[in-house]
Amino acid sequence: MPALATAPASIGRAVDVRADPSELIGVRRLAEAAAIRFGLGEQERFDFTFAVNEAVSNAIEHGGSSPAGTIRVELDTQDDTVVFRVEDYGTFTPKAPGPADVFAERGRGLAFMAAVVDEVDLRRGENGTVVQLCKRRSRANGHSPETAS
Amino acid sequence: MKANYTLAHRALTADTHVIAVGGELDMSAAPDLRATIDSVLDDGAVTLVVDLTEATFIDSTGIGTLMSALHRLKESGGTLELVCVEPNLLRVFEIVGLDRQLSIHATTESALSSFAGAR
Repeated sequence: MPALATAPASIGRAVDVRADPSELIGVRRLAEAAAIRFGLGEQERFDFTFAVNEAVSNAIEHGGSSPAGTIRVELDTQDDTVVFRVEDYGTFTPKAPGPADVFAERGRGLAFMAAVVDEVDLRRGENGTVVQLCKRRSRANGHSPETAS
Repeated sequence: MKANYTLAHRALTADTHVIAVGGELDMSAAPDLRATIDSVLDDGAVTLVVDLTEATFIDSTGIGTLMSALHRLKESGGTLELVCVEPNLLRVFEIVGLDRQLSIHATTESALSSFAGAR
């Protein structure tokens, strides 16, 4: 399987990546590129990429991988929203984000994601857990690439 | 594979250490940072500056590593200071409340002088 960075990464097309932390940088580049093409502002791009990184980190750490050792990522757009999905092959029981222990080293991912994107959705997918993130393009700094002058 | 982060450690005195992190501090970089921090603290450092001037990204595992260092230092009566000017990272620290847990400085010099002032 090719490394993610060299895999064709088009909108709406799912890509399998190895469930390994070394793949995170490639996934972030993919999310950034999609966010730029979609016309997100600079801060929105960082927020989206940050949330994508958390979702994939969670899938790698807590989810199971396929027999081939992969998880599946997908970028999509719907109207003024860019959507990212990651599906693992395990069962992930999210802990409710709460004040708990501020020094706790793990378990912040979901709360972080919710703080920087418009929607975080967890559901049971065909193979495992699907986390979906939605980030809307704001009118202030967003413009559709098609209408950009 | 080439790492997308750098780590550098220097001891200013037996007590005071600076760890500089550059690039992208994600789940693939956090274990290295953690090991470096642990060895510095095991050697008896009581004042630690983590210099993120050259860092461009941090995630929850990187933040968790810093929180854990902060916890260890607080228990032993030490101090952790961060150096960071990157607006995106500062915003992440604000979102997660890290800015309320420790002081964040614009330069290593100002972080170090805050120790000196505290003594």
